[in-house]
Amino acid sequence: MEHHRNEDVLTVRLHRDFNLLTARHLQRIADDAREVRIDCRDARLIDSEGVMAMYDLQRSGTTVTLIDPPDIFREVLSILDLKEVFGVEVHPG
Amino acid sequence: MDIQLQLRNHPGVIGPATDFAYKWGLNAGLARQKALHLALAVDELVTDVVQFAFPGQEATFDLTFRFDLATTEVIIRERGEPFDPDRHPYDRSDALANGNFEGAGFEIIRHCVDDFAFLNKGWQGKEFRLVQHIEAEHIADHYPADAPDEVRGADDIDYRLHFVGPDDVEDIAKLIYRVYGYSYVKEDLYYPDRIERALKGDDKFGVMVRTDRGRAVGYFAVLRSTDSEIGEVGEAVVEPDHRRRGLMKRMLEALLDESRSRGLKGAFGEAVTIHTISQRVNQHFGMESCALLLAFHVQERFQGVGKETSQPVSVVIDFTPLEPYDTVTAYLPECYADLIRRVYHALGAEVTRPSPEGEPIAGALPREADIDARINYQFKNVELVVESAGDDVAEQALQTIDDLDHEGINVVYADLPIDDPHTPAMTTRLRDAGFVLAGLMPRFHQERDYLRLQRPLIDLDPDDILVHSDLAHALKSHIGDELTWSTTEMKMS
Repeated sequence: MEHHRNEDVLTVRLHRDFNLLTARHLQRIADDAREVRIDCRDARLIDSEGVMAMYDLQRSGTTVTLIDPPDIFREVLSILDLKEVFGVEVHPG
Repeated sequence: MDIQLQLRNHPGVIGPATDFAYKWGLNAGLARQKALHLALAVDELVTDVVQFAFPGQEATFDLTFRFDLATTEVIIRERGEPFDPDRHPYDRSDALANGNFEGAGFEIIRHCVDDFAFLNKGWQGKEFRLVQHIEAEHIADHYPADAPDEVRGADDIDYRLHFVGPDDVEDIAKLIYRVYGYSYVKEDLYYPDRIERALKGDDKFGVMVRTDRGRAVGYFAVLRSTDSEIGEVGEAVVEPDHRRRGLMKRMLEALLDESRSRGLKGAFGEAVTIHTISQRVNQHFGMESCALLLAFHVQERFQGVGKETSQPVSVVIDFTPLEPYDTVTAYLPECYADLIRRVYHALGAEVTRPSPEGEPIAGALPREADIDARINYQFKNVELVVESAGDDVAEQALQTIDDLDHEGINVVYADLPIDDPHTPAMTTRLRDAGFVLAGLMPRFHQERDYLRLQRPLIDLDPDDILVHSDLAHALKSHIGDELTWSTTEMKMS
């Protein structure tokens, strides 16, 4: 997972599954960020641990935005009825 | 072939297990989306086991990957803390209000796979089963059922018999579709892709008869068993206009010769009991009836074929040894000994009584049985293969029935190795749990003979179960006595 900070905005780029290990990593580096932008274009899937990590961040006051999530991200959020909870940005192409 | 993985309860195994599940699913024939869903379900389960099954201790757990032409199944076994996923439903409002996501993983799993089963195996731990069906294109999507037949005189056709290859798969599907419409029991035969995969994987081999103009008019195959060197003779079809010309006999002879040359130790047929035609054919070719399996097939598959039936269809197992039997040392429960000896005699086997030294000491049955549960989700039956004997065999069987309550299972079979001195004691326990005789399953697992018991979970009308051979009648009568059936046929005999 690559990441860079621009003041209090953390941008991470997922290169694998958004699973338990990725979630733990994210929680470590997102500590005091105001916003976390998660670039998902190279990600394969997200599991409930990934969703929980995003929810925990959001609950602690951090805005979470998913960028170009693959269909299965939306599907998982829809299964858990959490589709409206996180921001999503889609870039054409 | 099963693939087994043993993993440590460490988060580092989650990614590799998920990767493997995805690639294995693709190789087994799943479309990308379905393989991804299966991988996600595996990710969720492995994560759950890693985090919660063994609190504070290092342990291992097992994954089994199993597939056939129509279904992929991943089985996760662990012996960690007791847990029942049904008792932990996901609650969205609790998640949003309190951050409590308990049950979220299982909610995702249930959406991602076609079937999810949880088996509590007592001392043997727990099993989670993920099933994904393999989709394929049905032959009816490409070929009309009423394609014109080749109309020719009866006597001016030369037939050519050959072993089938990948180029024949579409003709096989067309032939089945032309002759049976939608009613053929082996659904895989309507899907050319599945036939091709089975041939390439050496899961089966078959012969085809073509006319001198190349039209496919007959097909017959041997489907290799997955855990024993035997094969099921099946998928027989001959176009109506080409019947009574000895084609079935020529194909079967070629198949049995090929089976011998490939080293198979036996061949069997699963003859349905809505009519006796298949049973008569099997007997004509020297097969002997060994078992009557109640409610083996779901009845929807048989609409319009044979006697109309409103119940799941039972089958007679007919068997012929391709390598002759010699002497068999069999530990037979007294209540079934005479009948099983009759079956063995018909198969040409001499049954010897075990020496008294071989008898188990009273109470020496090990505490835990090791049982492999094979769930056939399509046919709604379960096979419990006892791999090592144990006192809790009935307890495990009843727990499985309870765990699979929501699956609509019609019957549970239990296979006990007949060369195991503990088989009579295990039979007693299973009979106390409502199991009755099914019969002998010769060389069915690892080339060993098994006594099969069964417990139908639905009511069956015995008058709708038609059998042909003397042995099949004897089996039916014995089973009927145990189930206290009252039938017209039995009253008359």
